[in-house]
Amino acid sequence: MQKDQSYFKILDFVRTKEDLNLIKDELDLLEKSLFEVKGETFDVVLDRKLPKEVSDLVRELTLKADKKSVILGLKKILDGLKHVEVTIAFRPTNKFVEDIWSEINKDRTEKVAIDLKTDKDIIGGALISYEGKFFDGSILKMLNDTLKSYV
Amino acid sequence: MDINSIVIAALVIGIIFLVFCIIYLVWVYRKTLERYYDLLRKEEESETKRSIRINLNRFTEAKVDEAISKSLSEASELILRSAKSVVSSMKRKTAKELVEERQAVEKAVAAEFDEARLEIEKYKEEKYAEIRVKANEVLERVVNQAMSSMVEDSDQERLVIKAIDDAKRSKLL
Repeated sequence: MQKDQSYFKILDFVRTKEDLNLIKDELDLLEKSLFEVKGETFDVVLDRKLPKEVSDLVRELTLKADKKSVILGLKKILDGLKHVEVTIAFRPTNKFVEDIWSEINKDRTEKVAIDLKTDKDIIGGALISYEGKFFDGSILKMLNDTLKSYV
Repeated sequence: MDINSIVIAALVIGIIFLVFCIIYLVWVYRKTLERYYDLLRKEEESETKRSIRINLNRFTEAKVDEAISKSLSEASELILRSAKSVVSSMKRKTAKELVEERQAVEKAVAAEFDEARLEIEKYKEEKYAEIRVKANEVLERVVNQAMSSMVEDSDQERLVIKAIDDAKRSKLL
């Protein structure tokens, strides 16, 4: 089931850690709806609670497999998604978040989500942290390095 | 017997008696003289003995005095010589000690001076480091504030993308 590449399409809808948590919550709701008798049914939740692209993917997948295994399969893929922590000095627009995600995932076979944080003290540039490694590409660091050579 | 014979006999007896008396007197005289001489001799002996004793005492006293005087003189001379030697030794020792003490004091002062100089250097270094850190902080704050207001959004985005590229080049991603 998980070898089906179509499951991995779910990752195309995840840009940030917030997106990831949101979709996971939605899939939890969807999973609960499978056992609801009086509450919202699976299709209602799919239409009303999930973003269209995600619900379309789920529908597509449920054509090939049962609903529960589709949900569990998607959740497993999302649980395995790694994320890169990116700290920038300003609040980004959605478009710029998309740009950052694209830039990071460019040329990568394994997609990653971004955990975006803001810290004005870094002035500009970004602090990037991934799998225990850290890169300081901030203006603050450049300034400090420059100042150290003068003071 | 006639008278003459009687007289003569009486004369002879008288003479004999007289002779005996004389002999007796001489004997007594001699005995007395002997006794006198004995006494005299004894007295002389006693006097001589006394004189000898006195002389001996005087001699002994003189000799003892002389010995004491000599001993005292020798002792005082010895003491003086020893004292001189001790004083001389003390002088040498004191001089040596003074030199050593002066050298020790000089060394101690030099060590103290070096230590003080090191402390001053260390203090200076610490102060310079503090000043550098503070200057750095002030400069950093000023520059940060200035830079924050100067960097525009488009520059911000460009800088973030550049940081991501740099991170990729450094094999972080």
